[in-house]
Amino acid sequence: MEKNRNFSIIAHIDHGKSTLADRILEFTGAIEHRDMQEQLLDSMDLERERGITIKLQAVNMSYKAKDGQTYKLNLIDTPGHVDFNYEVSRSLAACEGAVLIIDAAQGIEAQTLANLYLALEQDLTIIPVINKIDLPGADPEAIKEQITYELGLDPDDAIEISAKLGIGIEEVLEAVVKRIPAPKTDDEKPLRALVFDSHYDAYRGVIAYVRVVDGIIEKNQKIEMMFSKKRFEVDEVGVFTPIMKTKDKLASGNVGYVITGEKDINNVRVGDTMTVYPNGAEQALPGYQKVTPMVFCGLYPSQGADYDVLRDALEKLQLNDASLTFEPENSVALGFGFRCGFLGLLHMEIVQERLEREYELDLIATAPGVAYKVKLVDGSEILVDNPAGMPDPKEIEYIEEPYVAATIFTPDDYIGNVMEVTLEKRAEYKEMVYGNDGKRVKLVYEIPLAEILYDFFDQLKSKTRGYATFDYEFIGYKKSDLVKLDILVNEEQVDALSTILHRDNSYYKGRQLVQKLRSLLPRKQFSIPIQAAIGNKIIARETVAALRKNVLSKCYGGDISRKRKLLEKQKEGKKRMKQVGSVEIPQDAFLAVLSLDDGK
Amino acid sequence: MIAGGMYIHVPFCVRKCKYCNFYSTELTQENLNIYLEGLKKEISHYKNKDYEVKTIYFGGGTPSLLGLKHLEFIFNHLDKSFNLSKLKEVTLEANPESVSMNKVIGWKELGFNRISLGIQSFNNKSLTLLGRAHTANQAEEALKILVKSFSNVSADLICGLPNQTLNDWEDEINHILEYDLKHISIYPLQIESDTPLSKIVKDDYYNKIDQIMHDMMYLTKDKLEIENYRHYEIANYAKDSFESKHNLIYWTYKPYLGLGPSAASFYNGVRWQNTTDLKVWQKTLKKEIDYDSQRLDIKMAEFVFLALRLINKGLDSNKFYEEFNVTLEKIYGETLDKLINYKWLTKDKNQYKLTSQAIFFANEVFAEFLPDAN
Repeated sequence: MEKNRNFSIIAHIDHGKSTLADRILEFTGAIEHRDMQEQLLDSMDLERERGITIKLQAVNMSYKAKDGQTYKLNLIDTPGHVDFNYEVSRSLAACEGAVLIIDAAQGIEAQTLANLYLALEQDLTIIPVINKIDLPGADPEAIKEQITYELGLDPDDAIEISAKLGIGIEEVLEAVVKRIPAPKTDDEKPLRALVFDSHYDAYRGVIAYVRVVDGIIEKNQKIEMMFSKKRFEVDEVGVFTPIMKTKDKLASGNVGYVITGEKDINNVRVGDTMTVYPNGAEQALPGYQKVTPMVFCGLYPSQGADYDVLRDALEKLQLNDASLTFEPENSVALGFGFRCGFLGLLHMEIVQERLEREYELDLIATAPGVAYKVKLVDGSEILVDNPAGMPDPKEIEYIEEPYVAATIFTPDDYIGNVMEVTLEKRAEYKEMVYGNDGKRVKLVYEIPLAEILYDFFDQLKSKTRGYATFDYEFIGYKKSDLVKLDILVNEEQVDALSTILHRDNSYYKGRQLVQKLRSLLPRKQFSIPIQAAIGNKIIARETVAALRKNVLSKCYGGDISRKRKLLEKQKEGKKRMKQVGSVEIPQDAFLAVLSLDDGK
Repeated sequence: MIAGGMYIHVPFCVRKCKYCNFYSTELTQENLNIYLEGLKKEISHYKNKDYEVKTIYFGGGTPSLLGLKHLEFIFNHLDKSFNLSKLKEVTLEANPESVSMNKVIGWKELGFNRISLGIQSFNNKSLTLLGRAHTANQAEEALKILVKSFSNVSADLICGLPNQTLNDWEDEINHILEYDLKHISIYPLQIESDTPLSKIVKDDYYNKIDQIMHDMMYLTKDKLEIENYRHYEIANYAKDSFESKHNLIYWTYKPYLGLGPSAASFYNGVRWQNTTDLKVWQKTLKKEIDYDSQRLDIKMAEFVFLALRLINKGLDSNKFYEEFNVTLEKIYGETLDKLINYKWLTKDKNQYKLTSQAIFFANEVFAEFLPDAN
């Protein structure tokens, strides 16, 4: 077992994580070069398309090191975006070490730091790697300085590589076997295996990805899930090479998969511990912190008949994404759907796209929001996570909204820019602390969660050239002057377009919304007024002009009768059109409202 | 004493334009005799020395095709039957191919004080497409002659032709601005069914034209307003005090008599239209009365939408009260509120006006005031 090494690769987005993983697979012969799809570990289409890793994977490889020994390496891939920190920590919990990639040209960026901190929390051995040394802009010496001062790591430990050209791959593997400790093992203890991921296979049921910490798991063994208390018999165990390869058993220190034939995803939860039954372990492994969804939106099938498909799909996604929550809701405009909860905006987009691609669903998503506490005039309090459920202003005593403490690390050059961004987001400044190097600054703010939903992170990144890192934690509810902004299309309120926002922003946002909708709504035979309203008060208006037949004609020789008859016809036509079909709102329009940036 | 306008329809054309679906006929000696005979008959039919004619408008067709002596004949008969002493504006519609120095001098002597020239375009390709009987050169020549003799010259241009780009249109506007005319009318091309043009135009045109027309309209407005033209009516721009007085009669709900085949009249609160065919008209002076125009709800709607065509003046609620003895708000309060709410109308004291965004779909705003059909 001392020949086992479990490790992850962590990096800022685009620093070359997937490319290095591919080279490692090639180098160890886990896969022939010609068999490789580009960046094999990113197995979902969506991941390849966006160039990011969302769903993690584990691959088992053999490596004959320079010391003449053959090692078993388990590479566990990690996602790179802040929304998925949670998944990163899941992966890291299954490892003893991490390869930290830094782009030789771009240097240390936000997620480099965020991921490093996550790895250090898990007490992992870090191997710093400077990638892309072949690039013209590469400056490995400067990066080493950063490694010393910003990461606090030994620059002499850094390995210079080019994953693209295959330079330095062997050095990385040597460092993995030499520096990363072998997993602690104890095959004699009762089985304890951490489920760090899972996926659902239509024929085989739930496939659980496990890291065996103590004991052994093998075929036909009776096991119990320590949290759900469900019991199963093991059908098959194995490893990913990267394709699934059956093994007789998985011993402690190993990473692999377990199939029990169980179809109900709720019974094999990620974060749960597998043990033997009877005479199992007494104490479960520290599971993952249960993440509570912070962002909510409604998801509706555009075909009502797809409702069941959507429910089924959400259940399957929830299997390996415990942070996704959903409950049925219905909307006058959109029919039956689900109110879903997500970790963040990207998480929401990813879930939506997975639903659309993997389950071929055509979805309409409503504007994202948070859950508000509403104190009513009658003294009672309700929780509103859907703008449509907001009571009439007359019934409301006050509204409270969730606040987060946001911690932003930035080089001191960008303090002004960070302040500018936070100022626009109703952020309350709390403190500023300089780091030991006198360059890096920690800024703490209290910000309404709703304010970071749209583009806060993007703006922070763009105004700090990607250097700022941002983390937040929920600190509680605070009173706020909030209003519900309604959108009326052709005089009818579209409840799916309602949003709750601060009164100060409502005029601006209302104008922006109606302008955006105006450009997106299909034109009809009649003009369509679009209005934004708070209660009964209209705060913004636009018109989608009608399709032709509406041109201004000349009044030939004062022939008003003819003119009038044309107008009468037009009016009739408009009435008929309205009866035939009200204004359909294309999904584009909903998405636009959803992705509405501040357009600065 | 009633004061109003006089419209005289001249149904002759050298040739029929490809976009036109109005009645016109060939100018032959026989047709001309029938026409003049008919006018004489119609004028005496309406004879009323108490009708104070403020404006006379010769429209067509192509009124500039008539000879000076024919025009003189018509004026003589008008003078016998109506009170022409308060005449303010006498307009002749002319096409470039029938403008000559001789005629221009003659028109002036006959008492015309305003010429409206149907140019439509300064681009020969466009003119061919429209089937106009003149070239760009002829239009320029006609303009040069006209501005020498007349201080009040108007020109018509058509926008939104197939293949016309926004740049092409800007060229047209720049071109007409060179002549510093007092009045410019801009009409969007309308493809009428059963016209030769409707058979040439492709589906693609209909898909794109809305946006292009919209852009052209607002470009026109911007450019002409910078040059001190006032956008006083949806399709019309004028320098100060050169608004068409005759057309203002239409928009301000004042009476006018229409003479000639297919001419429209509004008199004593009733609208009617003469029969279209030249010979039938001459023989019978048959007209079709628009009975709906006598309904109060229709009258009010007409009053409102005609007034709203006047971009600057708009609809005056006091004038509505003077006309109908009931307040505008009592009749249309809800509709007006709704349209203001849509930002299709603005209200300033007692004036309601179209907003600039609503000009493009003004028809739809107008339709809001018409009673629902039953």
